[in-house]
Amino acid sequence: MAVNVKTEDRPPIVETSSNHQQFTELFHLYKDRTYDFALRMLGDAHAAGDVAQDVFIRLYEHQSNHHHIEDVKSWLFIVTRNLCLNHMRNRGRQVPLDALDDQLAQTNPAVDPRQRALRRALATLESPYREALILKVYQGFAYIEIAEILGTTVPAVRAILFKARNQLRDELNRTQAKGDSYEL
Amino acid sequence: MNCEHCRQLISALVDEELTEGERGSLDEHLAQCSECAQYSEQIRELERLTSEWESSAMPRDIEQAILDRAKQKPHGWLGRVGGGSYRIPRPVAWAAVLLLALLSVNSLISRNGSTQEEQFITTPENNQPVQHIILTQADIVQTYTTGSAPADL
Ligand SMILES: [Zn+2]
Repeated sequence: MAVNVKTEDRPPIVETSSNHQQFTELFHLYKDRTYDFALRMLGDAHAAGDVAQDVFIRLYEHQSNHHHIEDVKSWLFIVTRNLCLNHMRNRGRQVPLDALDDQLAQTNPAVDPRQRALRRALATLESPYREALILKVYQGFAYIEIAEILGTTVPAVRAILFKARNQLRDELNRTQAKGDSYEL
Repeated sequence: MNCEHCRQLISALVDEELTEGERGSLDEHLAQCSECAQYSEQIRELERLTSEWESSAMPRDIEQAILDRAKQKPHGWLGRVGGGSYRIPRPVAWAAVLLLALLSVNSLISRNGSTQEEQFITTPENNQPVQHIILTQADIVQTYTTGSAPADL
């Protein structure tokens, strides 16, 4: 996978405290977005916490080894996505729906059935449709940024998001047909 | 413009990724195709509903765990919150493997040419140290393999 990490032209060894300070700044800048992306990908707070820790461990190690990262923001989302996809492959089922419902119940005591249906429908989306939609709707990335994170082109991102919305719409309509109180 | 192309443009319009030319031909099609106009309404409603899902901040315990480790371990990390696997830095793991390899070669030589397996079978009272070395080596190799799983990058 192509990540903009250059190992050549390394700077001379700098003292650890400046590394540490740089890490802390990046951490505070991106910690919530990284965690939020992982949580929406996995639908499970525990797993999202593990992934977020792994991501920042890797960032820290890269910095400690003086590996230059061209675009830290893209890099963080690329690594988070890869770790989430690994996690999903290992766990078999894409999203634990119970955990998803619990999460909704915690933040919204009066659970809106349409929100419940929507989150379940989102959970049925496969890669790369789910990532693309999350990166666009919740992270506010432009197509060109999503293309970099997914390792594809802008026209492909446009097509992916079109299909993602189509699938989401179809899934919600199916839910409605099964008798859940939802209608688009 | 056909309906399929029109619907792709609707998705891009929601994302504010349309050129002015595309916007013009989209409006033209929507004015004369009620099915696509209805589709457009559904996608906008879907977008509204989707964006109602609020964002989550990183929990304090995860945040603190990451910062604590960065402070304690300027080079390399050990463990993580939530009972994940422990990581042994690559050079340390290699050094341990090398050291134990040397130790077992040494113990082979000191046993006057008899191999570990023979010792194990013929003199059970000597099992412990030999077995210990074998197990430790295996453990370290195992830990090393898991500790440096490919980054998938
Ligand atoms: Zn049409």
